Amino acid sequence: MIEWFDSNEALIQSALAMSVLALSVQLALHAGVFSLAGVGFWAIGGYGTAKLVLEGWSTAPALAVMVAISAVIALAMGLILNRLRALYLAMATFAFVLIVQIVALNWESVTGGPVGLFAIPVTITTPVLVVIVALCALGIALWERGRSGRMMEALREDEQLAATVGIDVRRRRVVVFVVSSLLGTVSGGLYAMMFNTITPDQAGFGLITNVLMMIVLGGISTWWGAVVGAFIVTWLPEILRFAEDYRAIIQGAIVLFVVVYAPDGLVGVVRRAGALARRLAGRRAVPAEVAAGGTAE
Amino acid sequence: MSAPILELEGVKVWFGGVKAVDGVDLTLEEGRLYGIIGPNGSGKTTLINAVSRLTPLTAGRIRFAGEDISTAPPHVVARMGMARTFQAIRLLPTLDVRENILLGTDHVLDGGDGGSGRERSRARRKRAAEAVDEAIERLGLQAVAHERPGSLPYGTQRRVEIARAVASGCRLLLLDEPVAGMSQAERDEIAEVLRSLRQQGLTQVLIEHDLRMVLKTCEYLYVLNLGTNLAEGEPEQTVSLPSVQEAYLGRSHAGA
Repeated sequence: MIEWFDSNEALIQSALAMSVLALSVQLALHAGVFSLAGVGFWAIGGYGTAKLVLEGWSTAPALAVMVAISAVIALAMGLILNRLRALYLAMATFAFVLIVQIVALNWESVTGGPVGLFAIPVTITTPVLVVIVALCALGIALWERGRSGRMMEALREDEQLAATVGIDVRRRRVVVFVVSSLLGTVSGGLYAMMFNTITPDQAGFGLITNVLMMIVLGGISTWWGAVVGAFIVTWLPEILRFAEDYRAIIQGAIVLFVVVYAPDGLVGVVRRAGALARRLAGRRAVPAEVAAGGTAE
Repeated sequence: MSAPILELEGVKVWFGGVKAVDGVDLTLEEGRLYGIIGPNGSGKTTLINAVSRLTPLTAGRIRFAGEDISTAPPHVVARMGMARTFQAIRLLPTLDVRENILLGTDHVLDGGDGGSGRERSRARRKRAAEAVDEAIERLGLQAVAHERPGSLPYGTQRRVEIARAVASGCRLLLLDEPVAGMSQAERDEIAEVLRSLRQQGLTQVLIEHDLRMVLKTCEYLYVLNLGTNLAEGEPEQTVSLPSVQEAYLGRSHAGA
């Protein structure tokens, strides 16, 4: 176990940091806010935290400052983009991600241009990372259940209905947008601080594809789908190493298969298996009760 | 005579050149069961959408519980105690029946989102659970409380819609064709539910095509035609007015 952990530590760290970004997009989509802005904030969080640490800041205040700055940007964006829905919001936030990437490429004095930032001191240990990721996941898990969970279902499925049961739709969508964005910032900050370098090509279209793959494979309807998806997508290139040049093709085929046959990803498969198991168990239990002279409900 | 809970003055809703509602006046007193009837296209549903604030007014004024809500957003009037059902069923497919009904209470009881503090939220949850249980019982949904609505018969889904509104503890309930597509037996059950809610003093507005249903439940009737008031009054008398017969029953009356 320890040996396995040691030889896979980089993958584990990467998957953990990425699962926060997956949570960012999962949360947004779950609540019907088709925002990819978290990916842009991933770059803002990554570059900003790394730059501040390189300037001599400690990690915690650097990350906290980047979260605060991101909150202001996200709130302004959220208010402006609030009138956009579905694909239009996706396109607008996609453009935001590309703009952030172009800024990263060209603002050389801060971002190091195409080379990016490197030799960032690695200040976060795996246990600390685990705790931060667990806190983020716990926060989202609590938010996605009970009353606020029902609110998200209503926001996603039927905004008019949501409004007529007393939900302030505009405000709630902005809140979701901002929280989703901040998760992106945290993920980027953690990532940069774990891997001592950040470059512009990490933060663009490829990252969007990766994150979408995570939540599609894991399952979009709950927080743990995002976390599981982050681990799957991080490990997939390792598992498919034998396929060499065909790796990308196989990876694409897997995504296609899941989208068609398991649209709610691994979460859906597990839930269906659970329901099937319960039904089988129930079928066996009935004759037992009858035999014992009990009455089935 | 009690104070009016809902007042509409010259309410107009135009969609471009289409004058869906073109000057409607209503005065609803607290604790009564009103009916709104009218032929297709007479503006009934548009009027309800305007009152629940889903559709903006072109002109006119709406007062609810003493406050002008002509420009208020829908969630605000919901929290003031206005609940509604929809002509097309609008339940959340990912939640079970009980959760769908809970949604009706989530943001409305105790001022909903304004609630804070552990004690208060525990008390709120308890009240919500009681309100939901009562609504489930009242609409006979005990057996399906933990089913997803998608797998239920149409009439049952309609009852879940009504339960969601009833559980919210509203002061005014707007029902947009609640018995459409139901069997006669189911219609009688719903009529009974509406009458028992009336007994408890809940003000209701029933939009309906089924005249039998309206005559059986409503105490006062408004007839709309072409987006304006055509007639109003005691139901039996109102539906027998020649102008109403002509507008609403025109074809079948002529054929009889």
